[in-house]
Formats: sequence, structure tokens, C-alpha cells
Amino acid sequence: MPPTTAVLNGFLGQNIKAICGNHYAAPNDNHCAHFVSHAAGYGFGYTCKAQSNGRAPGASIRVHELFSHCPSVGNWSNKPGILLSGLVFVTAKEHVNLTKKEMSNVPKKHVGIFIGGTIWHYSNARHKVVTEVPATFVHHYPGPTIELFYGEFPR
Amino acid sequence: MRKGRTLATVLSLVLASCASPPPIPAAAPQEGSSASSPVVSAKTYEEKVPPTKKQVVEALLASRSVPLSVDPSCSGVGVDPSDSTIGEYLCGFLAEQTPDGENWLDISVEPSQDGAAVWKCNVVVRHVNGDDRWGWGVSFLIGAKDHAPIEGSYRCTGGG
Repeated sequence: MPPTTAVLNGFLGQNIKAICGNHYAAPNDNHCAHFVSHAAGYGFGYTCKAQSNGRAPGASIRVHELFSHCPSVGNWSNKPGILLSGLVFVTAKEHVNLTKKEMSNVPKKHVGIFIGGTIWHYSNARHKVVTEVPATFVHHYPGPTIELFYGEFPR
Repeated sequence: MRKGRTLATVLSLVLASCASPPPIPAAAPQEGSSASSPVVSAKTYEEKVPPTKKQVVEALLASRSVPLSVDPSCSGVGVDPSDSTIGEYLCGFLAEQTPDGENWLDISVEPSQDGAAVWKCNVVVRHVNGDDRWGWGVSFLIGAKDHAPIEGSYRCTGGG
């Protein structure tokens, strides 16, 4: 069941240590996929349980694995009008192969959850869950080829 | 191991080994060993004394030819989709370190959980510059007496 606005708003302002039952909350790590997976209930691929030798159910922590598990992906500008919610990725376009539904494991990639025009994501610099609009989210990393991509929620 | 000469030295050593295919060190292969088996010098060490950070890096460098197929955690971790070895994987992230922000190697050693004569080594390549924040690395076991990496013990760590 995809997360609702109310569920996501419940995470606002929280540090990942309040979200992860495996106590994987290293402040120098990137927790964007980690937050998305706890919020949406994804436990495929490499998880926080494996990373921390935890005992609680694991949540996926790798952006490129979330991307490849989306039933459909595409450029944000081509997002179907009927897709009102899903995952939103930001990275350089040369690291994305939409045909193969692959994203390279480059350092500069980030993911959040969108519902309508609002994106919930984990700010690794501010160490908490925040909201942004797409026009701001696309500037998460500098660079002329940084773009947004949508992904249908993994099932 | 923050910035500075030590990291630069490690970088130069590792990057020098990034060319594919990496050469296997000139040591006589033992019977039954595969081409991807790590090769380390034949020294002996005090079993109860943890390896130094330098010795951990040495064991990791000796593991550069180990294929990423060694464990599911290593599947697709390379910056370049064609990366196929531990060495190529690490080279990709070492090469992504920039003068902006902080770069360092996070190196730790843990004793075996089950009392075996091995050490668990963890090496993470880190970069932090605001939201550009990541740590990707490898954990693996080495023999307590010979510091030789143990085949099949490799795990690729990191998220984001």
C-alpha cells in the first residue's frame, strides 16, 4: 500500500534513528533510499538489516535498486498525468538508462516520494525528513545534466 | 584517516591498480587457487593482535581481482555498470572524491563473533559535502595469523 500524505507528514522532521528499527543511523551515510523504503515498506536487495547486522525487518537502502524495481520509469517531464504519486529520483541523465530501467550506482543520486506536487525526502545534510517542490528538488545537486525521473511505486 | 598524505598514498596505490584486467601479484599460486584469489605476502602475525589500518588496506588491495559476483551485496555496486571486480568498484568511488568537503577512509576491525581465528575488516570510502554524502566499501575476513583474505567472506557495504 503506497504511503499517504498523512503517513508521510508523520515523518516530517524526524531523524532516521527514529525511523529505523535496525538502528542504522550513521550520520555520514546517505539515508534517502533508506527513508523511502521504511515509509513505503520495501525490503528487497541490500537492506539496513544487512548493513547493520540488525534484527528488525530490513528496508532497502540503495537508490539504484529502488529505480530498477519500479514497474515503470521515465523523465519527470513525461510523467503520465494519471500517475499522481510515486518515487522521484534526481541524478545526472547520463547515468540513467530508461530502456533498461537502470541507474548507475554513482554517488550523486537521490530519491524521494511524491504525491501531487509535494516531495518527501530525507535531507542528509539536515539529518531529517523534509518536503520540497520538484522545482527545488531538481537542484539537489549542481550540474547542467541533473534531471528528475519518476518511478511507479514498486509492488 | 582524514584527507592528507595517507589517503593520497592509498589513492595512488589503488588507482594504479585500476586498469583492467588487474595483474595478479607475482607469487606462486597455490594448488586449487583460482585466478581471482587474493594473494598476500607470506608473513605471520600474532593472532591476538588486531591488524593495523595499513595491514587492512594491504589485504584489501590484494583483493582487487575478486569478482563482484562473490556476494549478492556486491551486485551492481560499481559506478560504471561494467565494473566487475572489487578493485574496479573501489576505484570508482575513490575517483569520485573531490577537494570540496571531506574525504576519508573509514577503517575498522572487529574480532570474530564465533571465536574463529579471523578478523572482520571494514573499509569505507567516504565523502561528505552537504547533501553530497556517501560511504561505500567492503567488509571481509582475514586470517588472524596470516592476514590472508578469506574467499567468500566479502560483502559490499553502503547505501544511498
